[in-house]
Amino acid sequence: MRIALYGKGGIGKSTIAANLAAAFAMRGRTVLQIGCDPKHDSTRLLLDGRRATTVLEYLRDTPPAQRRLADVVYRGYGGVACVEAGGPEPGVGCAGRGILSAFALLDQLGLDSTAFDVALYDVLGDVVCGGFAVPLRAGYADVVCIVSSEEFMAIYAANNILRGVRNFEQAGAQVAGLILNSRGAHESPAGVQRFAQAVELPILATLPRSELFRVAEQQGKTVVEAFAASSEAAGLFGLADALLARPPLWPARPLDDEGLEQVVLGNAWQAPGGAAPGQATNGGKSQESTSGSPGVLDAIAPGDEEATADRQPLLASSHHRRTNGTAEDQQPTSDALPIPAHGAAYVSKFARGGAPPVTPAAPTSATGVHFLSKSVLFREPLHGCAFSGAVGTVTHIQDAIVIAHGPRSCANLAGQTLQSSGIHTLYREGIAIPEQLAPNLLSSDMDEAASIYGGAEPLRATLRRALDRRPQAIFLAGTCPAGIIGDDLRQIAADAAGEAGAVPLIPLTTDGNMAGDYMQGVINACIEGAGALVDPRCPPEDNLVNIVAEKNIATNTEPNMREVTRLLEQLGLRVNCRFVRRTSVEALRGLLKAPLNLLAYNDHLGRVLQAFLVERFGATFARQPFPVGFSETVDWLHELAAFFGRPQRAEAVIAQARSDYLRSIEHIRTGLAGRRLMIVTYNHDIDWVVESALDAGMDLVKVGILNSIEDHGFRTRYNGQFAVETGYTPDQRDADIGRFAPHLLLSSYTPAGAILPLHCDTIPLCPDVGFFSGLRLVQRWATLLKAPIYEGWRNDHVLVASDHA
Amino acid sequence: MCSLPLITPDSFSGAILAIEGIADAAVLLHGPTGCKFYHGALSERSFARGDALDPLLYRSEFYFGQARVPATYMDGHDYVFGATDKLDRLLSIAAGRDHALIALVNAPGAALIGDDLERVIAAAGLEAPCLALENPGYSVSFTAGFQGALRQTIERLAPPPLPVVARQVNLLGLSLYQRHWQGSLDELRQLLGLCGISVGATLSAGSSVAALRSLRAAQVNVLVHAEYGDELAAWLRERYGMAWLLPRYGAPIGFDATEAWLDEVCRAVNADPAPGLAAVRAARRLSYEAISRFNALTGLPKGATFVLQAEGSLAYPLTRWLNYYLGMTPLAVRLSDETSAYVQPLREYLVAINCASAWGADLDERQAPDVVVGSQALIAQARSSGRPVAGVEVALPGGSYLDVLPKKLLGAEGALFLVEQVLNGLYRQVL
Repeated sequence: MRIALYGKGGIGKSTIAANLAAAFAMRGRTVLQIGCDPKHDSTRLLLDGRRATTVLEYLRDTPPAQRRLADVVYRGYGGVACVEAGGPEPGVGCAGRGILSAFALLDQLGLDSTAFDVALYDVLGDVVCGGFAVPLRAGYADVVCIVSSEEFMAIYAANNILRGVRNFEQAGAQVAGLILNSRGAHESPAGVQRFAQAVELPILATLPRSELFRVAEQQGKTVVEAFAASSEAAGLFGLADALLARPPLWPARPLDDEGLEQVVLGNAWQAPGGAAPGQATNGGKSQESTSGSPGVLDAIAPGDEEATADRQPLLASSHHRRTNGTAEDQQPTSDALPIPAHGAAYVSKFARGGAPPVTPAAPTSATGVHFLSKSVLFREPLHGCAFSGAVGTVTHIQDAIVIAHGPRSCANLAGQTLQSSGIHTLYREGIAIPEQLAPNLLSSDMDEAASIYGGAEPLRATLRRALDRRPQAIFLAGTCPAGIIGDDLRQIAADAAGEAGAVPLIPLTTDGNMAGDYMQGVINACIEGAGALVDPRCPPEDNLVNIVAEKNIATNTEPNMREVTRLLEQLGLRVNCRFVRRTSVEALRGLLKAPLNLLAYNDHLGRVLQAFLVERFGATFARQPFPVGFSETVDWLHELAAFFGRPQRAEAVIAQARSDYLRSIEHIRTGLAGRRLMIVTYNHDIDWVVESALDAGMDLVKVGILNSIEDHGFRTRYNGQFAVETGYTPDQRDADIGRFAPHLLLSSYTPAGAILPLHCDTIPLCPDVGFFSGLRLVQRWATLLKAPIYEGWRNDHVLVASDHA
Repeated sequence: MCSLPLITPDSFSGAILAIEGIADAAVLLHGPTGCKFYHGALSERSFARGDALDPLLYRSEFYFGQARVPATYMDGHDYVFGATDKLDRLLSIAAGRDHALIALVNAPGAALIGDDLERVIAAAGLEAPCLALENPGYSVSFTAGFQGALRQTIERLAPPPLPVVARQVNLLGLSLYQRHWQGSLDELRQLLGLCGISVGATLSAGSSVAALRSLRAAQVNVLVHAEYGDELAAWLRERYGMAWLLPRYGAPIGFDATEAWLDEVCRAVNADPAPGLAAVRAARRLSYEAISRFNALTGLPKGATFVLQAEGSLAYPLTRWLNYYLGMTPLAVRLSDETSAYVQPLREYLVAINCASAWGADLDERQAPDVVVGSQALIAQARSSGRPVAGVEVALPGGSYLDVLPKKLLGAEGALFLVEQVLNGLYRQVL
């Protein structure tokens, strides 16, 4: 049973939640309590008054690779698993978004609420936005209890909560009833009773105002723990028993505002069926009672005098030992270990068992390891957004449509990235890529109203537009605004599945950049999007290879593909599917036809996708990525030829290329031998150019590796033959130029301004593949070094106002 | 499936590029880098203001290798807890860069969490005027964001009353998002100058903060691209009593619209249009010489077909001119913003020339156009099918061609440039 406890702020929800959790535990149930209030004091009374590290604090302070569920799940009284979501200080940030982020992390870390007998969600105030509705979403709470007092504003909030609940009732009624947390004997319960009748809900329990709550709270304990034999505890046990008995659930039938006032304030109220003011509403229309009024299940009669505790500010800490009032016969063994260690023990206890897996909030491997981009993994500033990366990937599936859910600017920016790459490829290489020039991309055009009231409707309308075009698949990618307001793309896709028929609707984990950077979006799109289409039963065929992890926004991707295709054809091989570029739903379904997969790049993305395909489908990969430069191409061809059993073909190709290469190198050697070369680059693998430079007799004096979002871990087979420095900076560059006086600086960007006189050339971020990529660059230097070191146009530097950062 | 329509930018981009168009102003973006890179690149490319591009020079926090539109690189944590600490740091860096105006612009996501930009600005104590664009709008038109940002800018600058300078005008509706804006502005200054009319402020592309502060010295606010300035002009009239002129035929593109525009502006400030019109006539002569020879050999451009997609202020006069002057026939005419005031006259014109079906039509795979007039994205889309389509770039996003010599789309020389593009495009097809 998973219970969400809602109610107006300060009404006593947390005290009731903690007491209920304790009572459930006393009844021998395994219990999880998640506090969903930024003030993160929901579980304090279960933890001897101590404060748990919140999920959001943990998310902020802990690198992804080091995150463990045990660090945020604490064992409290009675073995209750305690989690605090946390959130921002009042007045800043977005607490609702915090709840979304916290639940996403708990999902990622594998917290499975269904493994507990009871999960309790203690939720802040009203259902104020999508974030606070998280517990109501599919997969979380299935029972809603609303806490109210006799005050009008508390009842008003309860009615608002019913409005929110109604939006999540697709799977059926969810409301168990009201819990009246009384303000004392001086307050009349009549208003709340009339409200309960009007909305056709039972009052599950009436909890009296009692001094015991305050005393227990001062001890950092629940009443159930501190005064287990008291009548107050008995009432809480009664409520727990009533809930464990699985009371009937009722649909949410909120009143309109005018009716609410009339009902609660006692004006002209009539019972349901009497067409009274304050008729229960359903989408603005009156609704007939379906099953008669539920009864009232008062655990304790109203009228007890003393205060409930939660109306007082909770004390910051309490280190009292357990004192009086405990019921030894019900007292579980209290775990006395320090708090963080409890989590580990607890989680290990509950992580086992056959509980269904949670829906992953980010692509996860079968072993629970997340496929993360480098920036996310190392918590670097995020370059670009997951939304754009995902859009830029799945738009390469020709017969699919991608829906960008958010403001038009987001779809436009993602589309611009695609089109820009397509335009450059068209004009530089003469190759048209329709997937980029005319991407199958629709925007839900989320407007101001959607940002306030939720964007489900514009998204559904866009889905219908997409379905009208009869695509083979539809992908949904959400933007930051959609993620912040908590639009649930998975639920919307699930709801529309019937309308879509055989067309798969595939939501991608993006939420703008909240799922990560551009590369994380690429990863998620490959794994959740394209990966979801792969038919795992497809039998392999001979002579086929797949291409994996090409760079979709590099302008030489197609020329590279042509060169690779040419080399493959010389071995008698064909490309089956490109994962994910210029492909189709059908080709992705048949991905496993190819017995061998070829990485385009052995960078971070390549390694992640390889790990995914190996783990998920048992795919086989060639050891080497697309070959760049002579030696790599030789090795690559040998490896492929060995795999497919055709070594003679490879040797013939290599022999011809070797002859051409050596002849060319010999020709340029006279101009380059002994010249000093220095390289400063983002590339982490430059052997392809180093090889040709050394073959031409150049002296490589220094290599400086700049930090890159795409790769890390410089690698070379020329260890010890030249000086290498990673994490390189421009200041180091200028100093090294002075120190080594290179004849040629090869750099990702030509340095601006006046530095020491030397020749400069640029090294491509994504080099061409094949035998001759290094050779072509080195051939250029033979002529470049004959040019004047300092071109005339540079003298006009003084004419341009300097505006450097 | 047939092609889906290109997705156009919205008010968020409009607001950023409005401020970035002011030469000595700067946008500081409160948002993720995903919202930054494109705008930074577009601003730099449309209006280069610094030295050579060496990303390593812009390596300080917030710049990410770009000279323009630094951003607070918001992430999931910032959306929960706010990111005013980053804003504080960004403002302190920006304070040292001699900007004459700074605008803090919220990205769409940042606008939802409500970081208090005004408080950050107040706390920074900057010398330069600084404004906060808290809500850039969601899926609202680009031009609404553009004009809204400029209105806020002018409110912040509070231009003082000045003696009106006879025959001085402000030009409204110029944006970095217009292809060849700089050359076109130079051309309009030239033509107006021939008529004894000086240009004060331009709103906003190519202007300066000082010029904006002096905008009340102008006799009339003249619209160039109406959708980028109509609401602003009405507001300036209401706020400062400034007269404004909405030329009847749209932007001065093509000979006829240029002549009409010049004539209307001269009337508004009591200037003699004759010298300007003489320059247009000289251009007409050059155009005639080229077209007549081309036509004699090929029969073109008469009867050539075109597809056009642009904003209303361009689409209306350009459609008329391509049809009336060059004898070309529209297959499809689409507006980037279908709320434009030029929708009605444009549709009426298409009906009048018996081409009503061209309104809003898709690129038809069965009937390829000879010429595509629009953004490079539209042109490339048409060319991706392998058809020999002539392209005339009149809108952004642009292509990979590097413009060194400033091109002009507006005015007399702009018309010559268009004729040159059409003739050479068709010529390649004939060959």
